[in-house]
Order: sequence, then C-alpha cells, then structure tokens
Amino acid sequence: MTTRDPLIRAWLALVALSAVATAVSLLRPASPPWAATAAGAVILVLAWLKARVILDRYLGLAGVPGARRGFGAGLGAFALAALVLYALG
Amino acid sequence: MTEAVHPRTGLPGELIMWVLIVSELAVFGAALLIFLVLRLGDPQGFAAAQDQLHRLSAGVNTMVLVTSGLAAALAVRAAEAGQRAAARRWLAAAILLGGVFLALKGVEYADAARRGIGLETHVFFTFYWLLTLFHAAHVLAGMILLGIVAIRAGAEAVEAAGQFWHMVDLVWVLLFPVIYLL
Repeated sequence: MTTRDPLIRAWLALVALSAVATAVSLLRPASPPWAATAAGAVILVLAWLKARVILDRYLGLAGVPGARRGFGAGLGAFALAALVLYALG
Repeated sequence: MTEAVHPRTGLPGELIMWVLIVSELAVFGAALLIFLVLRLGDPQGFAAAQDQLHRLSAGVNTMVLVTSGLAAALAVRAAEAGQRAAARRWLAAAILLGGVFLALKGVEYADAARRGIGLETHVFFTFYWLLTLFHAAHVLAGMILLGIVAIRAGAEAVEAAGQFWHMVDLVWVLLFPVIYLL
C-alpha cells in the first residue's frame, strides 16, 4: 500500500475533506450573514465531494460511468436543495 | 473495491445491495431535507440547539468511520485475491473502528442525556436522536455482518458486507454536515 493506491488516496481525501468541513464549521464568523451562508455552502460542497469519493473508490463506481453520473446527479440535487433551504433560513 | 468493477456487465457487487443503498439514501436524504424545511420556521432555535452538540467530536468520528471504510475496502481486495487471513484482519480492523465510532457516539449521547436533552427538548433534537440512533443501529448491524462474513472470508460475501459498510459511511457523510455543521 502506497499513496499511489487509489484506496489510500481516497481515504486521505476523505480525512482531509472531513477535517476542512469541521474546521470551516468551527471557525465560521457569525456575521455578516452572507459569510455564514458561504460557510454552509462550502460544507455542503465538501459533503458532496466526500460522497462522490466513497461511491467512486470504496464502492467502485469509478468504472461504471452511467451509474456514476446517476448517483452524482442525485447527490448533487440533494446538496443543492439542502443549500437552498439552508440559505433561506 | 476498484478491482471488482466490470463496466460491461453492470454494477460492481450485489445488485440487491445497490437497491438497499439507493433506498437508504432516499430515506435519510428525505429526512434531512424535512429537517431543513422545519429549520426555516425557527433558525435561531435550531442554531442554539446545534451549538449544544460536539462538532469536533463528530468530526473525529467521521474520520474514524471513513478509516473503517478503507479497512473494509482493503478486506474486499484481499478476499478477491484469495488472501483470506488478510481479509479477516482488515474486517477485524473495520469492526474495531466501528466499535470506536459507537463508543464515541455513546459518550455524546450520555452527555446529552445528562444535560436533559431528549426527544422532545426541541424539534432539532427529535431529528438528532432519531437520525443518529437509526444510523448507529446500521453501524451495529454492519459490524455484525462484517463479523459473520469474516468466518469464511469468501470474496462475494465480503464484497456484499463491504457494500453495506460503505452505505453506512455514505449516509454519515450526508447526515454529519446537516445535523452537526450547518
């Protein structure tokens, strides 16, 4: 196992994305309101990226383009809906 | 699970597991969107409730779970290569890390209960308890499943259990930001 191994690279990406999302949440400013919304958008994009990494590498969808696109679209729609609802709140 | 991909024959692993993955994503996704709709009526209350959760601890737990996912993926790779002993070791690592995840959740739940935070404290906590407990039940079920397939460590069984475990991972990476971080 080396850092060239796709599974190890996926794991490193997941750990890094999780750390960044947690840091953004802990450090986000309370004002102005747009800054909090921007932080929320970053957190949701990071969640979408993590889900893609799990699907592509852990679950092996990287080699199945059609299913990969379908899951990507579904997860993207979820993240977009969550972002709109979060921004409205 | 990259080695198990067969682009011309369809999805990797068991089809029924993919049906389960889509179903679980739909259920948790719908619940999280309903949670965000309810937040529109009381954003300050939801923010105050969320501030009582341990974001850092949940972040650490996320890293524990994705690391257990790596162990499960490596178990699948080993089982497919016929390396049953290695597959068992990686499955044991995944189970152990699942146990660490549940232990940290237990500490979090005990702390919340000690502070009197229950299902009816606020609608935020109704969703918090129901969704995170439902997810924790999946983690426990996954640990049992990984333990059962470790006995024979056959490639197909390990792959199916690995798919279940990655589904648990996948649900958590969507649940974690909405409940703990936003």
